[in-house]
Amino acid sequence: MKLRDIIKRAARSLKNAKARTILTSLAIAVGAFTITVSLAAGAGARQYADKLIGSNVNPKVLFIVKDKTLFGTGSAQSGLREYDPDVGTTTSGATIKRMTQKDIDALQKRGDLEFITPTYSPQTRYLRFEGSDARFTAEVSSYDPTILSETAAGSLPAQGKQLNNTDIVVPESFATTLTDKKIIHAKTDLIGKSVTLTIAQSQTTVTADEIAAAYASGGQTAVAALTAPQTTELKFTVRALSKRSATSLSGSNVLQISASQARFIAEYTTKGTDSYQKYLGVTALAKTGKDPATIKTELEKKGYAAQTAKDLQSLIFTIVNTLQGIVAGFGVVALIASIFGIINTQYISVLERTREIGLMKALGMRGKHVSRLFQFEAAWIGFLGGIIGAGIAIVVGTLMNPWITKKLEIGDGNHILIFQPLPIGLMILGLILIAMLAGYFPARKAARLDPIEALRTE
Amino acid sequence: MIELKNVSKMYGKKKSVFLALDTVSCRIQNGASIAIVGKSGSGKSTLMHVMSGLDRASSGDIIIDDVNLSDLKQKAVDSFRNQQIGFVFQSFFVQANESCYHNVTLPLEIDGLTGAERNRRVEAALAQVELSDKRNSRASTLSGGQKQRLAIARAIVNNPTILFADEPTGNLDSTTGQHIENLLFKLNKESGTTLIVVTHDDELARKCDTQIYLKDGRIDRVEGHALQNQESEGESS
Repeated sequence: MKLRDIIKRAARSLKNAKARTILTSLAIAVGAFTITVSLAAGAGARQYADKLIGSNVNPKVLFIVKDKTLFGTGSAQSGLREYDPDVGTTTSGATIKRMTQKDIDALQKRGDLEFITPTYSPQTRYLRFEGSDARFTAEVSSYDPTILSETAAGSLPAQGKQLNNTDIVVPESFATTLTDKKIIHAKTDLIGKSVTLTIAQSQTTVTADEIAAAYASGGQTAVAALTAPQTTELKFTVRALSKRSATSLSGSNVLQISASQARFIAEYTTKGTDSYQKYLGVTALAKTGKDPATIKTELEKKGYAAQTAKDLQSLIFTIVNTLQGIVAGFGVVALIASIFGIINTQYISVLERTREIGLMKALGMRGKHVSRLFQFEAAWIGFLGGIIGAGIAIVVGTLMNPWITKKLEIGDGNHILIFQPLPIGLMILGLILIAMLAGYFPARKAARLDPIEALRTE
Repeated sequence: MIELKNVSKMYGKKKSVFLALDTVSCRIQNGASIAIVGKSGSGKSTLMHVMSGLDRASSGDIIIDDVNLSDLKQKAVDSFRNQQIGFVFQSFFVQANESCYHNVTLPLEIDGLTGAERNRRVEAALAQVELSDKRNSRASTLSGGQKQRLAIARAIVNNPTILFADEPTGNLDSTTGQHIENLLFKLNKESGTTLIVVTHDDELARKCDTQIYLKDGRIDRVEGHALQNQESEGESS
């Protein structure tokens, strides 16, 4: 018997038992729906993550550090380390080996890196806005010229150009605070206004002799002046308000100043300490035509550790994949339940059609072909279930997409559910195979029926 | 020619053995019409099953046109049944949800024939049983007589050498039964198909050339002609 004829007959017998076919298919459809949604959500999340990274991280960027533990798992415990003046502590409390000027010079010499910028950590005491004495605290970072961010007001230099030394970029949210506090009328009023940063030198240890000398020369006030931290003020002009964007992370909550100013602040505040001219890491761009991944492996051979934009992407993808796996897992559980549905339905079908099977065998149909007939019926059920589940998922998902996008605030034009034909097609194919496997035992029972016994059944 | 040599069929194991056929031997000429007659339990259905390749004999040989069924593998027996044998059953066994066309085409599909050839043969078979106008009707919409005619069309669509009819009129009223009987004998005469009718209806049996009477799994007596060298009931006793 030809395969095509078997498949056609299988389809016709299903058509003759519509209610049963549809109900069994619906059981599979539940699993298919869940898996389709998880596939779509995974695809959407990955695309969103791609966009997020693309608008925040230059694909050619490398973050280079001297200590591999910085990229490792934070909670891992390590043994005691020997003292090293280059070792410092990160904000999270981990002890790491820092980069020094020597390391930066070595990177400069390589020739395949450009825009080599140490990550300065400029610490400020407080800041004041023009026209008010209110003091605020905020994090300050050096402006990243490799990414062109969006602005809410004002303008930024062209991509690749640093800010001027008197420029400062203020987050839009800070301007909102200022308008709420009635310091300014409108957010755009802030452009062109001055911002004063007060920075303090770290306290120096004074010897008893110094105190004695100070007391001798200026009395109590001189001693206070000696032990009080030395402070200085820096004045900036607001150049732009960085926009709060769904996909932009940089500039979302920090003041941005030029790299040289950041360096000045960092060096001023760390002068005389171990941290002076030592950096957590260095960001650099691979020159055009150079692959960041190859530079990474070369750097690793020299004892550095580096992270590329791709590493960051894979990290996010790992999280997305895990979440997607969990959702898909529910779908798989639903599928397992539906497998028993198929087995049950097909067993009943075999019992119901004992005479039909007997007749087919009497007419010379081979057991193998009888078995195939029932397996293809199961395959049709799997196919139908897949189509129904995926179809509902696509319709519902497409209708819900704008609403979900709005709820999650991931920005216009981003869809969290993206339906791709290939994975859905593969899923349906998989369902057909699973259904055929489920139909195996009932089909075998049909194949083994004795035609004489079967025809005797009234 | 159909030749049975000492055919026996046993059911059950060791202590509870039941001998359904006890060393049955006979020869049937091609194109003859034979009635196998007997009460229920006489072994007439078993004889039909064994002769048609539906069941295997426990011992003995069934030789049909020089082919010994006992020597064939299951696959070959299935194929033999598909191409050489036609079956008509008391309760029709038509597939109620399928159209007449799909009912009749089943043996040809099993044989793996092409669509065009199947079409041609199904049309011819439906014409022979005067059901051409019901080609696309569901079998469930047919009357009893029409269902049996449909079953006959399915039985002759593969141009069988032997047509088995197991109580073909058992479920029909006498007028319709008459019609079916006439149809079967007409096919027997016109196309030379050997017709073997299994029945306990003496009236139908007497319309056949030969009547083989079975009793307790043995040939009790044979009436009529068309049997050659009948090694009758005496041999085994």
